[in-house]
Amino acid sequence: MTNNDFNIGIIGEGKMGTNLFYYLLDFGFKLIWICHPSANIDKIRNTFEKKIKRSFDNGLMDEQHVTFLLNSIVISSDPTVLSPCDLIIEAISEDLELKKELFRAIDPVVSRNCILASNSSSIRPSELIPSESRKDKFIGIHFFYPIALKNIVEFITTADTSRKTKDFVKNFLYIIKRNWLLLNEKNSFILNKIFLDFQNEAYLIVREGTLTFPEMDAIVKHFFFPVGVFEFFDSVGVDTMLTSIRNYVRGYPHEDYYKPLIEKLESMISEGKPGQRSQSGFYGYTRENADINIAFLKDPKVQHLIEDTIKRLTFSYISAAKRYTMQSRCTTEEINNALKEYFGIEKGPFTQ
Amino acid sequence: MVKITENIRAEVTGIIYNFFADECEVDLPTINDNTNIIKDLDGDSLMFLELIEIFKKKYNLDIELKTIGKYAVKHPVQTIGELIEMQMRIIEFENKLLETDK
Repeated sequence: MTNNDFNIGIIGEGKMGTNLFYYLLDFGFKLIWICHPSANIDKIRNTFEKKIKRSFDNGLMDEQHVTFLLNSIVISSDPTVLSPCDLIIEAISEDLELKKELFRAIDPVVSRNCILASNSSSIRPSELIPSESRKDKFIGIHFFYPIALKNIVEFITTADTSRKTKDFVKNFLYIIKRNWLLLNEKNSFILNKIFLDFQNEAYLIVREGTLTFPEMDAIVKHFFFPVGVFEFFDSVGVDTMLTSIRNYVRGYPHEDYYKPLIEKLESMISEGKPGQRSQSGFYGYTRENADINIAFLKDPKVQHLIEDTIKRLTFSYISAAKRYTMQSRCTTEEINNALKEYFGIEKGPFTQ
Repeated sequence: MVKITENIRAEVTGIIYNFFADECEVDLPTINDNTNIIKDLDGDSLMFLELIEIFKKKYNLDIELKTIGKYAVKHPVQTIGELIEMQMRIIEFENKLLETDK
């Protein structure tokens, strides 16, 4: 079989759905992209055709591939066109009820053998299974944005996922050149959860009143990751982060540990500060505010404070990484490599 | 490594201007070096990736997307002019881009 024999469905025309569609164009699948009924399908199709033409003009695609794509790609708002799919990946907004409704709607439309996958970053696959007959073919495939830059995927299985489903999805991920962490849903979304512990600790430190949000981001960016904790919240969206965090900590033995952060995010939502998209979040939001004052890091009067902060954040990061490594039964090397991709850093928490 | 000439700079500038005019459906004369990619053109990071692929192919560059991603995080691009400058560095230094940044 060639990749041309596989029909892959993508649902959602948001940031991730669109990114996934364009990422998968290179691999020769027959793609079916389902967009919301309110979306302008003609415009989406025109944009796709324009991009394909430009790729051809710039030598990124040959004529044969362009012809194949133009003849095979289906872009529609009608879910019944998903019927020939072997695998469908949902990438709609992070809303449990919406996702459940969607899967219930497409379950009777697609073949018995079709694998359904959710790209959810916080909802367990078993919560979304639409029918008894789909239980062994329902999984999570959690991509990170932008897919071309983040070579790691969380492949999340349930207690009912069949060997055949696992093998198919592993083969799919191999074909599309993405590495994966195979996780049981009880220990899923661990990369975000490791970052959550770090984010939470950063917030608790700021809450103590010795550092501001920009100062904390300056420390994080200088000593840990390319992006600051609170910049990240603003960029993803405070509301999206809040939904995910609530899902992550539900049922945790130490749920209260995250309560101040959750309350802070809740208050920001009620104050109309959802982050960068509305120019108001942890930052003002002007570019000047987001640019961190490096002078702060060099100020001799705050060196002890910076050192203490680094110690606390490092402890939080390493302990979360160790804890989730043990729970997930992944190797330290797998987690180390996954975190390097996730954060875009040279050294993971277990790098000597 | 590619030696940067005025011709290459003009070629890169032309490709970037035309790319954004086409992708963002705006008239070419409305774009200049000070045009803000996100605010004025409603652009996004995926556009950067496509442009990088175009230049990789055109100049046969040996550079990983990951390297460019790391560089871009340290040197965020907002305007067309800044993007041209980043692209010139990518063409000139390829996979040594980060080493030259120290």
